[in-house]
Amino acid sequence: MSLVLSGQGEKTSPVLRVARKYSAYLSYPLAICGLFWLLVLPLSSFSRRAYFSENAMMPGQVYTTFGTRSHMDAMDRVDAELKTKDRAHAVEAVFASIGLDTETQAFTYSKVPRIGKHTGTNVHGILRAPRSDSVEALVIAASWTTASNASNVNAVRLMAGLAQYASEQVYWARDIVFVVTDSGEQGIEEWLRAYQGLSTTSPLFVRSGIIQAALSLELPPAKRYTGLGLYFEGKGGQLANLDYVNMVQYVSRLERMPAYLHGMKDVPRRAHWWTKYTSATQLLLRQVRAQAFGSSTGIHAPFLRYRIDAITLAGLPQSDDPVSAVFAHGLFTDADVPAAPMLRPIGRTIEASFRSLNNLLEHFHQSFFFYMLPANQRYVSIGDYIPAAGLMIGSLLLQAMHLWWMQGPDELRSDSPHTRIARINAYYALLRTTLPSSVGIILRVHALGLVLLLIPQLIASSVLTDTTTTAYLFTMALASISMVLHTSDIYWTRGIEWRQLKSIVSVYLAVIVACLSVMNFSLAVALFVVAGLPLVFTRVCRVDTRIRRASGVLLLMAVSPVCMMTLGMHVLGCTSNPFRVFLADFYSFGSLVYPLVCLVYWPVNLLCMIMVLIQ
Amino acid sequence: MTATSKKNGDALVDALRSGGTAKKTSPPPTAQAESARLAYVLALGCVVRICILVMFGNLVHDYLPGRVELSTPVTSFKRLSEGLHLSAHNISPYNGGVFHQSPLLLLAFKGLYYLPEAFCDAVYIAMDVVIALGLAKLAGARAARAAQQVGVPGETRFACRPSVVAALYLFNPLVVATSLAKSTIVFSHAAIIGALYFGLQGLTNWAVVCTAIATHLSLYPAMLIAPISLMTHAADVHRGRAITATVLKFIALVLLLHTLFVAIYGAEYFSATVDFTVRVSDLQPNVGLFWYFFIEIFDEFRAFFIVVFQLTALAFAVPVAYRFRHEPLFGGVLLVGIMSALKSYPAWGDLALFLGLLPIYEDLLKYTQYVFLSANLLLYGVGLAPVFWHLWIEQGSGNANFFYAATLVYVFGQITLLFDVGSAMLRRELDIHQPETRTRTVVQE
Repeated sequence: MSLVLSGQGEKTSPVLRVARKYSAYLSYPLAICGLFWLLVLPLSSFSRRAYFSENAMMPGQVYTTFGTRSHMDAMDRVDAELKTKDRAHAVEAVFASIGLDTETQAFTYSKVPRIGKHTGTNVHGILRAPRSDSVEALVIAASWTTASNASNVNAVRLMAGLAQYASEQVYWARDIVFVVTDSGEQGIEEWLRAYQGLSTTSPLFVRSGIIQAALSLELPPAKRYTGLGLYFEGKGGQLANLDYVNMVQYVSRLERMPAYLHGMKDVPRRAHWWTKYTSATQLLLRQVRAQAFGSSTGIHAPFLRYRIDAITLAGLPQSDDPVSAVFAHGLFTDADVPAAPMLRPIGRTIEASFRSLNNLLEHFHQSFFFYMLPANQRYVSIGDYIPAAGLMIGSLLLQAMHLWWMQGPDELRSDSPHTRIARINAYYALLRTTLPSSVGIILRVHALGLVLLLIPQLIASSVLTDTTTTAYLFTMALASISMVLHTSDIYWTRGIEWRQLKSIVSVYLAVIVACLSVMNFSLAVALFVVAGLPLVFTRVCRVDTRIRRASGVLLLMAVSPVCMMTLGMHVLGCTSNPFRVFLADFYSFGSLVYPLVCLVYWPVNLLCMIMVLIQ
Repeated sequence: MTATSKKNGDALVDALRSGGTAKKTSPPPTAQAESARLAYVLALGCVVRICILVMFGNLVHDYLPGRVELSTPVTSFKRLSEGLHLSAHNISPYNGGVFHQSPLLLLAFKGLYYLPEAFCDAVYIAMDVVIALGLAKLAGARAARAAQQVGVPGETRFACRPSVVAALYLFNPLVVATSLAKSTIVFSHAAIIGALYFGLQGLTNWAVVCTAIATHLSLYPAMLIAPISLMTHAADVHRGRAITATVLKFIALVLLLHTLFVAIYGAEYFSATVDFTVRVSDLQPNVGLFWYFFIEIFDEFRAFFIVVFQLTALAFAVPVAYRFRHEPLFGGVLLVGIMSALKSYPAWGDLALFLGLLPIYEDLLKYTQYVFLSANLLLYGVGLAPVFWHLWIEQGSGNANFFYAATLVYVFGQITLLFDVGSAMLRRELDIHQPETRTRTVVQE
């Protein structure tokens, strides 16, 4: 072992000496390789054809019968009830008339801590399975509004039809729960909390067993749908089991209503490879965005937190759809929206999916939970994409190893046995004086990050609007910059070296990226791109003049969180400041993005600036 | 008050910043200033814990006690509460197979059972302070001793100030988490520190009492009797007899406590505590090596491998103590590390105690060779464990192999550190006692 690794004291193996001295030069290409690895993923030769692992599902083995007169009548009943009652009670009445156990749940919630109380109502109806004892359940969920704020009444109509269809059958081995919420993901989160018995303020009394799988529906107003969009990413980076995604894609194709991943249609098989590549890249980027920052389509995401595999099916109107053009803005009451005449194939797709889910013998577990899908019915498994994270972490670690070795004057790195005792003493004395300073800087900067994290949660009753959020972020950015200038001034005069600081920060960031990459690969990559890459390249060339230092700091400001969030608003498709969105997701769904921005990304960026500014 | 605390505050910041200034240039701190600094560190440690309890009390109470990385079946506070409840209702606490902790804890917590929960928090904070104080005293005693010993010519003598040793222990996140999770391992730790301190001071009888208590609390500290018996201050001619007497006293005391507990709780206490630890009857995952292996093993090989695994941990006692017989305290420190890596129900708190003991041997740290490696391994081990637990248990997308992989990294990191510190001590002894090797390269294969 001592031949491979040894520190300051003993004679080192020549291999290790060379490696330590030049590993920094390896770390730059390694970081770049990590990114190039990601660019290889969309290549069609890199992915494999999807297959079913769980044979019990038997997808597509049944005749689908949805769409008889009685089902259509149930769908029309929704419109009739909507004319006389408010929408929650209208749905309750329809469910009750079909014979489901129904209950409404009124609840209040706030999107951001201590700010604004919203109220909402959930309705659910449970179809008790004739062949079992209510220990397991399947869920179909819909919200009254779609992600783009249009009416989702078509989905509610279809649910009524499906409830009617399901109530006529005898083969159900699991209860089927139909849930309609009026508050999107927040509403379904409240419903799930209550269902699991975690909510004390608005409990549910009509319940069923463990939820095995959930499907959320989103059908915006349209004359006809050309296909379905399939979304499967949860808030914390969880993904639905690949078998579920595959099965729905498979049966939807049998019903001639294909479910496309993220609504992206297939590229023709004979297309040019570049066309395939760009389309796969686009699809992967959408997945990365959804996985890292939370999906915005459908209400399936909260289910995944509770270990329930869930997806959303969203209808895709044609681009020149006349109904879609008129009713897209949510200014109309639900009853005004004309019923889509083409709901039968969608209903049959769901019917076939639920027949397969009904066949499951145990919870989804056979297939992948970690995957990326570069095209419809193709997948890249974790073994093929995780090396990218490995390369990134490796580059940070090599950098750290090199810098740790290079700190202090040159004499410390000689390996002459005659100076050994003097050398190890001098080296340790150096660590003893510098290490507390470096740790001190890191702790201070993180204390600032903690303040950034806590203030929005502690201030009571102030309204966190877009403008105040931006102002808050700019104030914190100014405070951070002045702190950077101040500390770097102090440490410059004390003669603290940047190498040790960078080494420690690299080790720390490598641990965080490694831990994240197994939980949420997309978020880990995003964090590495915005925080890790700038860190690796900090002080890649000399910063001996003021101009070089200033330009270094300016470059770092360009990749600072404030800058990135301002730019990211369009990329992420947020309607408000991403900081607020992250805060709300953190508060409601425990999403990791907000604490990572405050406690890792922001401090690391500041520490990079300090590294540029000190000696 | 404000003026003095301000001054002390500056002193502490200074102390933390310079890592305890025993540099040649700075004048040695006076004993009074040092004890004021220590008092300040201890007070700050309490304040930090109270602040966390006040601000995040619910989160701490809901989340930390259930973490398998912090409390195991033999140290869990929830299980202790169950035992207390049963014994308060005159049912044997060892009925039902939930409670596996020493009767000593039952006796200690008997009164607390009837008091509000805040008293319990206070006890745990007090234990942390006691351990930190013990570490500081130990550091002081060892520094005084080391100052009289010969060193290597031309070396700088580094000695961590007692207040810094206390601060490094008290503000270690693993220690804070362990005490907030109310893991009962802290009582065993306090007894271990007491044993080492009394042993070093020559108060052998007290050291034996502490070791016996620690043994009853968590079994493995029995190994410590080997180095502690070597700490005797007896003159060379009586040394052998003193060592034998210490070991015999220890055995007698352990048996006495055993008889006492059998008298109070019946023989079932033994199968629920000691036997339970030895046989690893509860395979709840933890950060050690046993659980996964014994889930997988076929039943007919179980007994054999239990012997193998337990011997791997226990067999180190005598050789380590013997090899470092001239510095028995160091043997004790290494054994604490070995327990933490190889015992059947380890937790992060065990590592924290070992890390807390290391600054006492600051003069060895300059000899260490693989700190970069072991620090990284421990960081990944500690960081990945909760992540893999989340994937396995909460999210259901991972499996047991994930968590065990993190455990392996964690244990490997500890072994590397142990190995590194041990060989640092050997190299230093060589430097002191064999002057001709000072300019040679020593290669360990």
